[in-house]
Amino acid sequence: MNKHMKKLQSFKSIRSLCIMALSSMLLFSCKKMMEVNPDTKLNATQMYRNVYDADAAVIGIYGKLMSLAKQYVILNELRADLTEVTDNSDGYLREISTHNVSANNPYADPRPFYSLINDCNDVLKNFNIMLQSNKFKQDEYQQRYSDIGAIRSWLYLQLGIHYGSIPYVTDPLETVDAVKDQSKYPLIPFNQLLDSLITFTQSLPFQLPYPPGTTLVTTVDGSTTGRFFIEKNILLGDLNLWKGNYTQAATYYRQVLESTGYFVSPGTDQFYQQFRQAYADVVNHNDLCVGYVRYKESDINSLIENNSQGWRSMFARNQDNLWLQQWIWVLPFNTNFAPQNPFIDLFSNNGGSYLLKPSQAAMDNWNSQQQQNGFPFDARGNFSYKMLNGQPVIMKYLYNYVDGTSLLPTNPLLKPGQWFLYRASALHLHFAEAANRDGRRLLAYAFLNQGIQQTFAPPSGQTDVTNYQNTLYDVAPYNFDGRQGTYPYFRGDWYRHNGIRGCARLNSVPVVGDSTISIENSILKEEGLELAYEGYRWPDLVRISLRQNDPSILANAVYAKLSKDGNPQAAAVRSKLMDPKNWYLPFKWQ
Amino acid sequence: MYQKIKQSIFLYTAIVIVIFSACSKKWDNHNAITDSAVANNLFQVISKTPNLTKFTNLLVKSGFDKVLANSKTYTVWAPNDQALQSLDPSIINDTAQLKLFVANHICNQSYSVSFNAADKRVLMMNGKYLLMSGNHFDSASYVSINQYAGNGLFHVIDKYIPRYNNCWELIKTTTAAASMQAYLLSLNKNQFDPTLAKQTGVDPNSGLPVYDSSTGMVLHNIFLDSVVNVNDETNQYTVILLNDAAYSNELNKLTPWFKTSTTDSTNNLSAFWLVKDLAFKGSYSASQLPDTLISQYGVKVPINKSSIVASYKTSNGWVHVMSQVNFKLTDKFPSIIIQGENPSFFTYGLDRTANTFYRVRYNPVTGKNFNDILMTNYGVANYYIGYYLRNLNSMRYNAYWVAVNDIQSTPLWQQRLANGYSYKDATSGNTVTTFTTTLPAVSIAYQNYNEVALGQFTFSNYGNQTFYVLGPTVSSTSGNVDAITLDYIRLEPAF
Repeated sequence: MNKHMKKLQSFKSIRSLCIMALSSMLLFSCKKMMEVNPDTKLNATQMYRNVYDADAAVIGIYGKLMSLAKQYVILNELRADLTEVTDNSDGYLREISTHNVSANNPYADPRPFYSLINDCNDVLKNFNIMLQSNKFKQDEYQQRYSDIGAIRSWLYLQLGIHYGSIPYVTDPLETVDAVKDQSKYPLIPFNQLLDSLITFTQSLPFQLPYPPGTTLVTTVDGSTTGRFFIEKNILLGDLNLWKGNYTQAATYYRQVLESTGYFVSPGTDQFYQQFRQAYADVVNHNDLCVGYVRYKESDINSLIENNSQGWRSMFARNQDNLWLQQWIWVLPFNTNFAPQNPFIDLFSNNGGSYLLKPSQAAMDNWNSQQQQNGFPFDARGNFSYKMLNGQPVIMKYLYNYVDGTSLLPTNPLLKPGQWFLYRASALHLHFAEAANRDGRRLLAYAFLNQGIQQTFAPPSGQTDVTNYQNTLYDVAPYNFDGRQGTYPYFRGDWYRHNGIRGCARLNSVPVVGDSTISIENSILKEEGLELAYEGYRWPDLVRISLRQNDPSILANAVYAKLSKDGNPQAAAVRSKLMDPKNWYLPFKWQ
Repeated sequence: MYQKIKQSIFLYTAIVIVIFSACSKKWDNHNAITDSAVANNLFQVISKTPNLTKFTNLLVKSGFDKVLANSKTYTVWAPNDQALQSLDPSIINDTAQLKLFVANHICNQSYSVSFNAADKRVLMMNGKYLLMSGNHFDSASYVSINQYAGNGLFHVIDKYIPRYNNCWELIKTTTAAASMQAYLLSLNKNQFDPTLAKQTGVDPNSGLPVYDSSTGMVLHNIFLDSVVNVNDETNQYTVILLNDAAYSNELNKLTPWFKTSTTDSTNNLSAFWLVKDLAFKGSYSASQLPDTLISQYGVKVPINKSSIVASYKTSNGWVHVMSQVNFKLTDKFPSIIIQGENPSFFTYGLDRTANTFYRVRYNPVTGKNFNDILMTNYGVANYYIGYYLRNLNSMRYNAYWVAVNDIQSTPLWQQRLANGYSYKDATSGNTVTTFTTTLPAVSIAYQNYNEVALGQFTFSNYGNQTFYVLGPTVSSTSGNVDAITLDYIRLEPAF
């Protein structure tokens, strides 16, 4: 018995020993396993160590921004008057189009925006820490901090346009869902939001593009990054235009009109043409204007239409000098990397789902214009949409995807494309809006129509243009020199300026009645003709309706779209939109 | 120690047994088929259903019992025994006919009956479509509905559904309109289809395949190919057949406008001109017919319902035999439009492409955009643009044009319209143009968007014609002295 007990005891002690040994081994191995860092993920200590880490954070923000492309275009276009749903569209898209948005509509979900805002807040905080711990040079910090700060302001501007009152959060949060805590982050109205955004964005230490030689100006995934980043002066111009600070807005826009920070050499083509809406090259058609074969201008078959010449080519061409003259902010989608280009699926009826199409109202707008050769349509319409297989297809996003001549996909499995965020024509129209409201109606008319030289032309027979073709009598930012004279010789900085309609070969729009209102309405219409489907439309309608305090501008535009497409809810939607409160999406956190 | 190990092994085995046994039994209970109808296929269930013995026998006799036993999904509309009592024994005794008859009651996929469902055409297994409308299947009513089996559904109906002819099958067999039937069948043509032919070898000289001449011929009918294919089961059509008196009456109205060198060709051309407007897309029963139908060529067809002699329902629409369809000549021969921007040729040997503009303009008179052609300063006297036109009738035509001069109010130029022919002169080798009729010169007024009357052409024979729009008689390369413009020419028949 005793022996047996002893045996048992010793067995017990052996067992406990074993357990101890085993568990300690387990712990040891655990510790070791923890120490091995995973190959494909970074931990906090591996981030924000130097300027290259900071660059990675900036590129990361832009990469994530691209996932908003689809929602951005749907909200800014489908809510407005130029884009319509197709038979393939689901109920959520129809809700957006008819302004009857249910709480669970994924396109009206503000969370993707706030998720990115939260990332921006986190990056900004870490940039500050880096600066304090001297992992950053002062100028490197200023460039990158301003860039991300501007992106955040731009995101908030978008949210304000679509939701009206939103929470304005500038600290990084643990989870993005904390935004919905309204006791901490109250909803602030749009006008107040604009004040905060202007104050913050104006205070950013660096307002220019990344200068050449910066580590960020390089090639990423096969695209150069020169026009990859937000243009802060334009953002400031837009914020002030929304706010009604017209001189301020025009001043910021003028910075970009003059290519400030873009390092173009005076006297070169690039100098005279970059962001200046330059005239057409009527001989060789190496331009971004509507054009016809020379001396065959009256022939419909001589319209210049391909991927390397004329107005259409700006959506198709590589990043050459002409491209740089027009594009200010573009994010390219690469076929080899996520995120995938959402636009093929949205727009193409060959290889895509064809969810959005041009509205009849948009087509009618183009077809009611008259060109300088008497043709009763706007050729930009021919380039913005095409009838393919009997269906109207929005083409601006598809020119990298389809063959330039047959308009069939070059390879249906490869979906290259670009997210067009800002270009010179939008800048000119927004500048004209500001100038018009700032008492410079003729200058606005010039920007809208045929340019400075023609609008301020000398009387016939007068060859000395010293006192014509310019507005140098005016103060900045409204002093332009468009002079082109032989005796005495002039080549003003703006002598190639041609105006939006001049570049589209259209006749000028007449001014009827009150000139400020008439010109402003013409600018709004022109913004539709020139910039359709590029994500400007809803903001343009809202801004001008608010400015004129006339909800019918917006309501009638949406009504025209719905009624021309035979939607029985058209009249009901119009009366709903006559109340500006109904312009905004429900701010719901699902 | 040993005991302990033994105990634990026992315990472990017990647990495993309990777990597995519990699992299998529970799932068996959960999944087992308890409904005997689903365990059987359609044929088995139908054969066990009382009052379907006759239909069961027909299924066996036609071999469809094996079809209904396989694993695809079917729907059967089974006529009950009372219904099949009246079935013609000649159908039962002819295997081919019986198969078509039985297949007329079976379709692929399952169609359940719901009395408030919308009308639906169902493709039966003999290629015919039958109408499934709420509480009726074609002409039959339901005795019982939505009976199910393992591979589909069946419904019991109180009438059998005869196999209907389609419109074309009916036209081929009808006796009510012999002349029109004879003409339509005369349009049958054999065409050679190499994909169906049997290749017997290769021609050693040309390298082309040689086919067995007895194979590969496919029967086509020009009426079906070029007017409306009323032999197509998938869509619905309405055909009007004229009885012999009406047919010859209408034909005689048309023959003067198709004068040719032979009576036969005149008759054939007139007959085609007549019948092309007598078949329509869409199914119209006699009561549904409107008083005017529009043919696909835009011709108005007056329908006087009292002239309907007989109406036949077909599997793809209706055929009406009529004793009169009184076409108006002005409807039967609409105006002919020649579009200016579609020229066939220009003055031979003188290329003036650089002076030629194809334009788009807005017409304030019509409120519509139009395309036109404008030539200026081309520097050739009597330069012309030529237009070929096929198959003009032997009649008089009043000519009009819209020619828009929006380029200058002075000087105004003159244009002429002519018809004629061009040929290559054997001795000189040059192309020579002879004008048969030249209408008087017309001055092209500034910004006139209206039609301008030009004069009349008379053609004694049916056939092709060439028209010429001639410019000014002088040669000039400046000031738009030489100019030609044309939106369109309209040739209006004058009877």
